[in-house]
Amino acid sequence: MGISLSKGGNVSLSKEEPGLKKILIGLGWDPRMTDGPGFDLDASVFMLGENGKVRTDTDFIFYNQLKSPDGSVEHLGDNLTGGGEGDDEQVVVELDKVPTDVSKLVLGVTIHEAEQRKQNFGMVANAFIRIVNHDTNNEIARYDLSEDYSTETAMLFGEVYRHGAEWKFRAVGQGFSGGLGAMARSYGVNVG
Amino acid sequence: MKEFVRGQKGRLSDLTPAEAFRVGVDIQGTASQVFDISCFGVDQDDRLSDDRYFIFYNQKTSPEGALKATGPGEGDRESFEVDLSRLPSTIRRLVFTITVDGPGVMKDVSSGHLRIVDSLGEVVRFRFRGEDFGEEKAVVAGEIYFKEAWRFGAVGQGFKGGLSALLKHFGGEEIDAPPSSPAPSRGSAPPVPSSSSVDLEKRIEKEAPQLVSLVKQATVSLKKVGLEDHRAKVALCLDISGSMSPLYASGTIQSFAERILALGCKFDDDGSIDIFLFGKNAHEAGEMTIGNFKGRVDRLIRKYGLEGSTFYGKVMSLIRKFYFPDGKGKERAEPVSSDLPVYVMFLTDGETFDGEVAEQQMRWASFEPVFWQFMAVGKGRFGFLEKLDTMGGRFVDNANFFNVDRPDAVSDDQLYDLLMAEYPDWLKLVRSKGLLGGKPQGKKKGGWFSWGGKS
Repeated sequence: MGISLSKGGNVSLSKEEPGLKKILIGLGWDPRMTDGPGFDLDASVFMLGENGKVRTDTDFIFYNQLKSPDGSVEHLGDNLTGGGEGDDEQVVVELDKVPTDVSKLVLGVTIHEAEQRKQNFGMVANAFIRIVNHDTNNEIARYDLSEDYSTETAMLFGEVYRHGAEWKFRAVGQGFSGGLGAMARSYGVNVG
Repeated sequence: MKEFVRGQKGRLSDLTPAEAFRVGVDIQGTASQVFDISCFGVDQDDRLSDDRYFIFYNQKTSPEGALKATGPGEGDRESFEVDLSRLPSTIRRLVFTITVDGPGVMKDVSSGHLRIVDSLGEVVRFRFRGEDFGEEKAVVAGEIYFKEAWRFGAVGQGFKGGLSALLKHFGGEEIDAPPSSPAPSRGSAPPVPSSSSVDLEKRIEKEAPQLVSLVKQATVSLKKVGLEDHRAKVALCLDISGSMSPLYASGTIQSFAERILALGCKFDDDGSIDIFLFGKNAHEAGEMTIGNFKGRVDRLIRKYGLEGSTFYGKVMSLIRKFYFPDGKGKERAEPVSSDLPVYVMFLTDGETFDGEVAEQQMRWASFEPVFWQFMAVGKGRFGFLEKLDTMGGRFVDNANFFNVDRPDAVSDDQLYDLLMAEYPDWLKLVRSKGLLGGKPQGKKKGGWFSWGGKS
């Protein structure tokens, strides 16, 4: 069940993805064909406590910090241009390993140096972000960044949050202004 | 009136209800700068596969008049009259470009805009200035493109390489014109797809060697039933319900699609097949060709995703509308004729949720020269398909069905024989009933007219 979402879409999954254990977040886009600085999109995950903030700076998983100390969240590597078919960046989350005091994972996507390079998602061809049930390979949700977030430079894709003994996904799909640094700061990360 | 910034995109219907409107482009440069403003009508793959849709000063209108360059006026250096309702369905993107003729680059310009104007006035404007650019000599100002609906995008990106680079980007020939003279050789035609089967064979050997043995195998089966010179449009209709996931993930469907593409290479001179997808909804997913087939199924699944249910009726209607647009995929009670039959390879792993609608579609479709070859995979219930042999109320028996465990459970030769089990008899039947070989109906994709009544 792959759902194409536009702004404000909401998917509650306790029925559709029972026993969701391992998630894959996939970010993809086409390399720039026209002249100018390349498009460098980045996927990030913020592991938040009950207070809606990271417990420590190691709860911020991004291209410079690829694995959480507990091993539950792993970013498989930074792609600087979008070269390659399919997902260009992937983050894998093993829900069973997420520490009990982490109640929510926030998923974000940003354009690197968007301000300096004067770029937005609309300029990038075929940019998407998706979340997949890694065990069944079922695509849970997908956002078309190029079409539906064309004037944005960053966005909060969704939240994976605890609900009793289960995990659920809430599609957020909200643009964010200020880049990855500002996003991280808003979740309590100490950004140098 | 909306202002779009660079990169901004939106649905055309949010800007104007009109399908016919004017696109105005203006640019203000230095006194000595000369600009050319053109429109490229490109296909699904962003290729200028038909050079009659490169609208520029030497070719001011497209064959059916859906695109017309009308010259300067009303504050725009160049205008294009666009009528989307008359544009052939092969043209999926209209790209409006500005090239700097002679010395100078885009950052030297002072300002410019691209706007859309309908009968009531201006609906959207994209303004740009020289400082938005660098050394580009050709830029895409904006585009109108079809992605589930018509959309408008303010682009403002381009190429240092000028017109040459633009043409290369759209798959046309690089041309050698001296930049400062409007030489008659400018805008020379990109190569038109070959229309002879010998050329196609050579192309397959060169561009898609892995298809060569499949095509040979298909030829053997076709010879057995006298169809080695037959011409038809081939459609591959794929079930994208969630349960199909393992077959997609394992590449089984890609392999299957390649076998159908090989059949398409025998029946279609451009060596292409049309892909349709269905689950909860029906999708027209473009062509699979010898140029784009590698990994194509994977890309399509990534693009469309799998869906939660199975509806044959919706996609049958979509397919019928695609090949016989005058009927709009709806009811038909009178036979319609065409030069080319349509062979639909319909793959599903489950029962349809809309049995009655599908039955109705089957009946209406029997008045059109389209043959439905169903292949059901797995051990599911296929009540609808099993009833096909005895379904009444049809002008002709237009379908055949077989069931396999998995698409790769049959060998190539077995598969091609199965696919030709009833098709040859259907061909004879529809010819005798006037569905084939009469006057063609409705809009045509390129190539149909060249096949008057062969086989």
